[in-house]
Amino acid sequence: MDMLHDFFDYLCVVLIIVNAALFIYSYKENRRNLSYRLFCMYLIISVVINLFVIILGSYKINNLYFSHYYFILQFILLSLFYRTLFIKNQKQIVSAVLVTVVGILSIQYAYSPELYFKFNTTEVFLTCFPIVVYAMIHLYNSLNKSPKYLYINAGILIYLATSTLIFILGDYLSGSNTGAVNNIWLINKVLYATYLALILTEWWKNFRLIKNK
Amino acid sequence: MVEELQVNQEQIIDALVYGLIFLLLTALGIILFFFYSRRKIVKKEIEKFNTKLEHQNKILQTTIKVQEEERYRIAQDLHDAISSKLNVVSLTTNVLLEDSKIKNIHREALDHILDITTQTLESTRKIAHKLLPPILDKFGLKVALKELFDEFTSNTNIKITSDIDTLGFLNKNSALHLFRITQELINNALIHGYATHLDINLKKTNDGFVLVFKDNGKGFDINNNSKKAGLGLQNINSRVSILKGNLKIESSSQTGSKFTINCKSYAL
Repeated sequence: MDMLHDFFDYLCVVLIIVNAALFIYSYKENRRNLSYRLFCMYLIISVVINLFVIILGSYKINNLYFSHYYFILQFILLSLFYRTLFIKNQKQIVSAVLVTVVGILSIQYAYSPELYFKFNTTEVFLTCFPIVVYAMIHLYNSLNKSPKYLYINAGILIYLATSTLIFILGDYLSGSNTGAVNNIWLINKVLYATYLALILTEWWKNFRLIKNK
Repeated sequence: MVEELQVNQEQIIDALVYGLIFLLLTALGIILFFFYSRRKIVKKEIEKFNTKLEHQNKILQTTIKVQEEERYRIAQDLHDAISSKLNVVSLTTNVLLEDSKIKNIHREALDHILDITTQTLESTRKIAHKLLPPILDKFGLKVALKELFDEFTSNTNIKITSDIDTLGFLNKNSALHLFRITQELINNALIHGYATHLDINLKKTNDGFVLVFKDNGKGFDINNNSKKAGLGLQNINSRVSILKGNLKIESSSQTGSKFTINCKSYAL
C-alpha cells in the first residue's frame, strides 16, 4: 500500500516537472497566446509549491500553509486563463468573481489570521468551485466551434470537482491516519496524476508540432 | 465511546468515498455529454452545408439547362423568322434585278440591298451556329468537335492534336454538354493560359467515356481558383455533374493544365 502511495507521489512530481518543462519548451512559439502564458505560469507555480512542500515535508516542518498559496494562486491563474477563453459577458463575470473571492478571503484572513496554519474549508470551496463552473462554461462554449484546451479542461473538471470534496474534508482527514483515510488520499493522488497526464496529452496533441509547421 | 467514534468516522469516510465516486461520474458524464452533443451539432452543420451546396448546384444546373433551351429557341427563331424572310427579300431582289428595263440608279440600289441581305443572312447563320452548332445535331459529336478544332486552328496560331472516339450512346443533350465543355476549355486555354498546343482525347470506356484535355499554357492555382471558381470553370463543373461525371484538374506553370473528365454512368 505504501509502495502505491510512493509510486503516485513520484509519478505526480515527475509529471508536473515534465509538464512545466514541456510547456516552457514550447513557450517561444506560443508566447503571443495569453491563455498559454497563463497556463504555463500556473504549471511553474505548481512545480515550485510542490517542491517546497516536498522539501519541507521531508524535514518534518509544517508545510500546511502552502496549501493557501496553492489554492489562491491556482484560483487567480486559472480564472485569468478561462477569462482569456471566454466571450465578452462571461469575461465580466470571471472578473467579478475573482475580485469578490479575493476580497472575501482577504477579509477572512484579516479577522482570523490563525486560519493561516490550518486547512481553510471556505477557501477551498471558494477557490475551486468557480473554476469547475468555468470549466463547464468552457465546454458549453466549445459546443459549436473547434475546442481549445479540451484535455486540460476535462482534467480540471474531473480533478477539481473531486479534489474539492477531499480538501473540504481535509482538516478532518488530516487529523486521523487510518487505512480508509489513506485510501482517500490515494484517490486524490491518482486523480491528480490523471489531471497531469491530461495536461501532458494536451501538449502532445496541440503544442508539440507547432515548431515543424 | 472510542468505538463509537471510530464507527462514526468510518461512516463519514464511506460517505466521502461515495461522494467522490458521484462527483467523478458526474464530471465524466458532463464530458461525455459534451462530446456527443458536439458530434451531433457538427453532423447537423455538415448536413446543412451539404444541402446548401446541393441547392446551389441544382440552381446552376437549371440555369445551364434553361440557357441551352433559350439558345435553341433563339437559334430556331433566327432560322425560321429572320433567315427565311431575308431569303425571300434576296430572291425578290434577284427577280427585280433580272428585269432589263430598270434604271441604273435602281439597279445600284437593288445591288446594295442584295449585298446587305447576303451579309445579314451570313451573320444570322453564324450567330445561329454559335448558339447551337447544327452539325452536332446532324452529324454527331465527333464531327462537331473536328469542326470546332478547325475553327480555332484556322483563326489562331494554336495547334490541336486530337483523338476522338464516336460515342453512339450519348444522347443529344449530353453531346451538347460535352461539346460546350470542350469549347470552354479551349477558350480558357487560349485566353487565360496563353497555350499554343492542345491535346484532346475523347475515349470510349467499358462503362462510359473519358475526356482528357491537356494544354501547354501557364497553368493556374487550382485551390485558389476553385474557391472563387471562375464562371467558366464553374460552368464546366456544373456540366460535368449534369453528365454525372468526375472532373480532375492538374495544373502547374511548367507543364500546363490537364483536365480529366471521367464518366461511368453509361454502363451498357
